[in-house]
Amino acid sequence: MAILVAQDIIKQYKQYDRVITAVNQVSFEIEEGEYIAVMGPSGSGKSTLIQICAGLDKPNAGHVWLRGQDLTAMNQDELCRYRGKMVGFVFQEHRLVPYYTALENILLPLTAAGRDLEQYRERLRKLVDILGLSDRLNHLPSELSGGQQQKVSIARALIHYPQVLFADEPTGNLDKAASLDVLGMMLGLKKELKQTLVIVTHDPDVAGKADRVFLMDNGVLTPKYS
Amino acid sequence: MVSDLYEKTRKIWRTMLKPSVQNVLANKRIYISILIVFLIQELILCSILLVHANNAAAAAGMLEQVMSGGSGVSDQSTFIRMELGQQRALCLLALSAWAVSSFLVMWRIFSANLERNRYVYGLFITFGADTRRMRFILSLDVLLIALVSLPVSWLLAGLVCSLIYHAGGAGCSWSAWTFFAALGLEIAVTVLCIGIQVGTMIRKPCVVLLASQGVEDYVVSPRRSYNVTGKNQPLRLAALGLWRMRRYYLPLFLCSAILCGLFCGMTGLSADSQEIPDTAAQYVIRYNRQADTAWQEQVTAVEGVTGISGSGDEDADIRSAQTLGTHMVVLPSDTGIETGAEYDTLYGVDDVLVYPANTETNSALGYTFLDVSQGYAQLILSTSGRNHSFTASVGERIYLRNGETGSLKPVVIRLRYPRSSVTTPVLLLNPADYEAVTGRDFFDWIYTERADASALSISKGEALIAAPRAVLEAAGLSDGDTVTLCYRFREEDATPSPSVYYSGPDELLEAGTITLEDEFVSFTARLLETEGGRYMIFRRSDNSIGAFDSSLDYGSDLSVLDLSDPVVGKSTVSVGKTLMFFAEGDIDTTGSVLSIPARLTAADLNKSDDEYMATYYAYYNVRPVIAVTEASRRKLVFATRQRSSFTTDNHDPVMTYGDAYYLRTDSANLKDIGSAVLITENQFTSYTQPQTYGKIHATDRFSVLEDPDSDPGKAVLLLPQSSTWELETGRTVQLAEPNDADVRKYADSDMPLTGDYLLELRFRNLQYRYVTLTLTEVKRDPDVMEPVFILSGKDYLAVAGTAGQINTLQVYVKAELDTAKIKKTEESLTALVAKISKNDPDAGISLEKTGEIWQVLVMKVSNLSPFLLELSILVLSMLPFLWYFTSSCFYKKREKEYQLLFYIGKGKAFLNRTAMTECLLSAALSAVTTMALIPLMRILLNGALGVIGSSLRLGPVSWPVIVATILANMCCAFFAAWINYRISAGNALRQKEA
Repeated sequence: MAILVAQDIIKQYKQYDRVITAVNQVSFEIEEGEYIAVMGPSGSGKSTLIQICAGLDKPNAGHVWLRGQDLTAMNQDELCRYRGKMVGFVFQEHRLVPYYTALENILLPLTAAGRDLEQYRERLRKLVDILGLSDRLNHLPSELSGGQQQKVSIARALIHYPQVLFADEPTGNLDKAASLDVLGMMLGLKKELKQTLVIVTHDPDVAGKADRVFLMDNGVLTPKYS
Repeated sequence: MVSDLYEKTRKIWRTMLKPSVQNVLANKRIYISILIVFLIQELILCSILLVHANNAAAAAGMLEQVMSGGSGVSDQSTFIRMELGQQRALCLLALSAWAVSSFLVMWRIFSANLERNRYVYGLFITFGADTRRMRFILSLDVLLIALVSLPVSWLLAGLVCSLIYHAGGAGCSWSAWTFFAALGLEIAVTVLCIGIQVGTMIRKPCVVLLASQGVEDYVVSPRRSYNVTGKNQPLRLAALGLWRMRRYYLPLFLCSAILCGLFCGMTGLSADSQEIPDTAAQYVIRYNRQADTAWQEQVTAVEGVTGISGSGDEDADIRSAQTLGTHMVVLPSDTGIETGAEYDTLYGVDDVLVYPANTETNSALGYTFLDVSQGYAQLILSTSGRNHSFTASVGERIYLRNGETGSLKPVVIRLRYPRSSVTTPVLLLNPADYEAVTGRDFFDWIYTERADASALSISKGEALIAAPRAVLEAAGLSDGDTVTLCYRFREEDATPSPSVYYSGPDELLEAGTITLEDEFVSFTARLLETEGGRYMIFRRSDNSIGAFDSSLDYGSDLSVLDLSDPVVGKSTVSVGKTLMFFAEGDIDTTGSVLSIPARLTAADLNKSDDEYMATYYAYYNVRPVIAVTEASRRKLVFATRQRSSFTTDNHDPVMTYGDAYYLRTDSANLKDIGSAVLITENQFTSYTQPQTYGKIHATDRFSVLEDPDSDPGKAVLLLPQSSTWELETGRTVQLAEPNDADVRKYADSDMPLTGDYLLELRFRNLQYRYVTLTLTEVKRDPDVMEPVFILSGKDYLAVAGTAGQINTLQVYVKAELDTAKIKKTEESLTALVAKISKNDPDAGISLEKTGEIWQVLVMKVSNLSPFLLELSILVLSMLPFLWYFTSSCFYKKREKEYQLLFYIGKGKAFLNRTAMTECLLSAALSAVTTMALIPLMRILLNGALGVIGSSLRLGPVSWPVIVATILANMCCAFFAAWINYRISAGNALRQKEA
């Protein structure tokens, strides 16, 4: 059963007098529990596409159904609540609150949505153990390495049991070893937590482990056949 | 239970308070600025509230002292209440100004703050925080600060108030409610300001908010950056910087200019309010010019009077329309009381002032009169132009001030019984009905009957006399006497009033709807009290009012009205004729001529003339009246004939100033017009535009004829509030001129016969004749401002029956803070004037209380001047913080730009030159904005003061103050930019070096 359906998505930007089509009539479906990788050159529209799929941005045209709910038809408040419940997102630049500790950053989805933190104690412990962050929880982001920051970002994306995890080049700023380390953890968590995973990446090794791989070029998405 | 509470508290802390506290701690520099601005804002707010609380308490104390008894209390309390009302309005105005300026300042600060933290807030929104939650989290940040700063501000404000009050010799109380009121207002403004901004922010897609991470300080667009290497860089770059940041600078310029405008306004007000005269003309005595003035020595001898000054050769024949307005009638629609068949119309007489208890300000702004007689409440509005706001409704509690005793008591307005429920004659003879029908003063001569004061149903035949004691004693009656109910005519009553429709003897008929059809009046009559039978309507062939023993030709005009109960008869008669009613059998209907004395004379019946008339005759004077409602009867239109010359010594016409039309008539119509004429509104409308009747309300008040520019032989009508009249050229109007009746006979014996009073008597008793005029020109005059009567001596004499030219004497009293002394002085003066008036009625002496002394006292108690000064300084002290904080955000964002300039080889000197240019530009622009806004703020401030009816007015702001304010604003603009530039450039340089 498809958990995510995108239909005829178009996203355009106006830059000065020029209109740039970042996503050009893209349609696809993702089954529940699948691991999808999206590859393509820089500026091909990959990030824009998954931001639209995650409800962080709105397309100019087309629809996105996440578990049957049309994200494009929701107002901002509905979208916020739905996002806080269903979606996890890992950014390439980590995007941590600089004056929050690692722990506070991980708990951000819970505090932002006003959830009871006690109910997530076990989840937190598990994530921290898997990601190896137990001794870094009280550190500020500026006191963490890039890899550690990304791990915090992953933990933050997963703390609230999202059904779909989107990751925008999660290993883009990491070295090879750290990159494989992070990917391994994400896949392990995916398997353990039975989540759907959509990753945008340049790294063939990351894409190589995906169930399906899509190629994005000039805003057009095509499946890659091995 | 306890653990639940603990858990809930913990959850609130962890999910709500903690993020806010973290945000505050992470942005200490920003929030310290906010804290300081909050402290100042709250200091202003608490000061306003504390001052108002103390002033209200002081004025209430003064009022209580005044109300403790003595004559003249009513006037004094009125003046104090009016001042109190103005103080409250002033407080509301100050609070409104505070709310607006606080909103603007907070908006500016939060806008910059949101811009600065949009990335963090974007993360919250990305991970599920909706609008409600974001508003909560962001408001908490600020409210936490407000909660810290408010107690400090409140204590500081209290200390300042105490110092000022103690310096002024008064005590200061720290009302606790002011703290909570300040808290509420602060929260309201903050939540509103933040709520709107969060709503705007959350509408942006998350990616837009998140995109600012790491580049939130980066404002140099690639396209703009290209230009920085061009020529004339410093000026160009500075101008470019300002232009790029226009979204921030424009509101900042406006905001700071508004604060400067407020400062100038308040310092000006402070200076003005300091000019409280120690002595002012507190009373004005008017007297006939010809009168002996020996009594003036007695005035100076009154204790408390510090001096007098007369205006010997002044033409003081000026009367405010308000002084003649007590006979205006309020329409039910104006009172908010439902009209219709079930209710009688409200009307009444003067002497009682009404204060709606819950709208004291309204009462202070407009006089409303009310009389309670015979258990009926009768409302009447003055002609004051400010009484529109009064709406009384059934059940509302109002305060009555009795004109004689001066006592103030709350009563509840109640309507009269529905007419349909009336079964006894009492309601047909009550003063209200009679006065409405006849336009005559009930107290003079109407007898009424009732069982007791509280019930309106009585047994027929019993009677009590309701009249002033003096009238009753003059009639030879004393307490306990009873009189037989009768219908009585006096001599003057036989003179038909030219402007009154009279429905006939109340025992016999009840007036129905009267309609005008061409030249005829058609009316219906319903038999009420007598048995059924045939009645004849008799029309006199001539319209003269002679003795009743003349021969009457009733021929073709004789109608027979069948009034068999309950049959309703209907008849039509000519306008302007007199109708007489006879019982069947009294008149021989066979012939064309009937000699009444031959059949029915008082002598024949062995009865007095009064009894004779009352028993057998009643007559109608038919006038073209349409849609008769009692409320409209006494609304009068005043007019006069043309003037031949107009000088300060000879005001020929009666003139009024008001929003007006000039209505010019042709000379032919003016041939026989007297010097002053009057027309009823009913007649007026019936001759002009009957269908507009409903548009004419009591508030339309007087209309006056004038002739400022017309040729001799032409007259001009000047109609205040004439928008509702809709007059057009070619229409005819009826004017009334005074007849020769001596109106002194209507006067109460205990009233001094002043010119005003006599004039009022003439108006009230409608002693006029009528002339029809055709309008030849209608011209609107927008310049006319206030309704004021100016009567020439000649006209005044003709209208009032006494010399119109009067002198005035200003009486000065020292404005001491001793209400008891002032009361005593007023009482002495009142008694003295009453005594002089009684001894010499021709002196026409009257005392007018200006109320200024109370105004001075309340102003002195209020200590307005130092407080306005304090508030103005506080307002100005917000400027540096506003500039510094906002500029810090701007320049923080420009660090990257400076880094870029360093990287491309620009040195510190270059940057300094650029920044200096930018700072100077910023200061110059702020000066221009301030200069433009200060006059605008003055206009707005004066407009607002006018709306609330305050006597305070801001004169032209002095140039030194304006210059100092502009300089202060320029300095703030310059140094805030320069200091922040230094910080940002230093950071940029350090980062480059690192």
